[in-house]
Amino acid sequence: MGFLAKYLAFFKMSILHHLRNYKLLIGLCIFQLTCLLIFAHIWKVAAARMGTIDLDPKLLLWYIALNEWILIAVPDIEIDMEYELKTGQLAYFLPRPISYLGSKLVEGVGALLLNMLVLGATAFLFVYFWTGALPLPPTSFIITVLMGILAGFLSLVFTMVVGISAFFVHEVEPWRWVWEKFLFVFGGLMLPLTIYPQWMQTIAHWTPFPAILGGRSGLIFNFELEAMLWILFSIMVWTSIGLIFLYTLYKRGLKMLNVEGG
Amino acid sequence: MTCAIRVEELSKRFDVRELSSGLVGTLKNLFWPNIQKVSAINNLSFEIKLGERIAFIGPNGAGKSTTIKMLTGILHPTSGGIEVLGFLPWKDRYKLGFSIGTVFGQRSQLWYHLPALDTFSLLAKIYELDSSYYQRRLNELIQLFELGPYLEKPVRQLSLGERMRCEIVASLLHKPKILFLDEPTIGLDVNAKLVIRNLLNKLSEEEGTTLFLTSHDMADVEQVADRVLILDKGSIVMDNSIRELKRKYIRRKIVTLVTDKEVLRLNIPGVNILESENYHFVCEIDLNIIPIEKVIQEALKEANLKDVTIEDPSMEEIIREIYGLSR
Repeated sequence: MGFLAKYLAFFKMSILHHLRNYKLLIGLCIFQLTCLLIFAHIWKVAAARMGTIDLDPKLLLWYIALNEWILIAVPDIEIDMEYELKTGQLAYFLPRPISYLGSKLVEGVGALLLNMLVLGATAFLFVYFWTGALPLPPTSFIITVLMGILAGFLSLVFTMVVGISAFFVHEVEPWRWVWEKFLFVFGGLMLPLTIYPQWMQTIAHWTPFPAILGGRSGLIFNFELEAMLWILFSIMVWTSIGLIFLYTLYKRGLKMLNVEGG
Repeated sequence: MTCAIRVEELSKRFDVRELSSGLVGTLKNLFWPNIQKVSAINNLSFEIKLGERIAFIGPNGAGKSTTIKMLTGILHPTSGGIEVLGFLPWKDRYKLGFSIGTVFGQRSQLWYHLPALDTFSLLAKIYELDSSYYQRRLNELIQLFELGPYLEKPVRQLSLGERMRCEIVASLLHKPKILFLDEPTIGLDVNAKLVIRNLLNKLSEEEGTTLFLTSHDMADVEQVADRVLILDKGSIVMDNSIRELKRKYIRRKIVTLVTDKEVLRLNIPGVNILESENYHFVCEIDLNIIPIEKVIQEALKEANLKDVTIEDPSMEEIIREIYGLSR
């Protein structure tokens, strides 16, 4: 029980900390609304002028909203981790009877869920009033949203992988940049993956990016049980791979730190 | 058990990549790195009893932080043995964590946007403290460290001195037997330093906590510690009580005489005149050459004395002299 209480306390602290820092949350909401407003206009104009887009601009707005929601909600935990590893702040965590990695993960989940709640509500209200309807029947929509929460966790795990790389590379910014750009491209941030060239779809299929963004959000165009289960399976598999990778890197980094110092 | 820390023949070596300058050197380093073994700690041995107040000092790069990291289980030694409260730190870090506390002056364990009280509650969970014990302990520490007015303020609004008091309390909630303090007064003003030193003394007296302090501020050493371990280039060059250290290494005294003569002239070997004007005569006496009584006798021959002050050289000067001897 004591073991769980420690991590639960970290979770609570993280939510409290981010609530106190509410100005950041307001900033994220404004950024998200700005993005959605821009895209709402772009798709409207594109559909009217080109008339070639097969996809309904209203559905595209829901699609973008479901993607941006995850993208913006994942906390910049890699920056904190880089700071803690580079500056030796880790020295405060290691002698305590709690796992650094576990506490960081729980802290990240706390911030993620709070961000998702606030950003999700903001995006939902905006897009709902803009489009005037839900993109799917309520049950299917709720399932898509729930899968979004799992996708957020998957993205958090890989963000932490980037953060933990500070053990080896010191500067994580280039890795973060590469991760984000791949996520934008192979995740189908702005356009559904189905309109990508086949070769790009094939590559994307073997990466975690569609599970985080476009594959999951794409369910709003055609919600089928089989597709939903595949995305769910993909999220589970990539989350497991991410966690194993994260743990392995942490153990290796810690061993290096124990022997070679920081 | 009376022994808090036992260190025997402890050594730590690091692999350090030597970097060459220029493009060719950089490329060479990439493919054929030149790795050197650097010895940070050499055959360190010492013992610290429970309740002792130790100052672990030395110049930058002497190996102080490396030693603390080994004592707290963060770094593994290359050879030799360490026992902290009966645990092997690098093997039993988790268990040892319940019995030690750490304060790093240049880092913070408090959550920046939250009041310190929230961090205290989190730490109570981490250290698995029973809630009634935690409340009792917190109240004790709030009284001891006079934290009442700061508890509800977000950490970002605290001054450095107030924050440091909170940092120390955060490290004491689980009543550690040993408190490791790495430069706890760095960056603080004179008053805040004094407050921290007094609090550490009070803590040590009331709870018998073993203090293991590193600092570059010799006033910390003089006012908090009762024993000094001086480290240089990874080895201990001196292990003495503060009193003994002063007795052994004070070879000079500063004497100030207030006389009825406006300017006093003493031309005696071993006496270096620092100031002689306005009825004030200040000199430095080399005790190896002449005792103080002799100087005063000579001064009395020249003038009537209204006041005499005898000062020791500062701790900083003594330490500087010891570093000088070790090199």
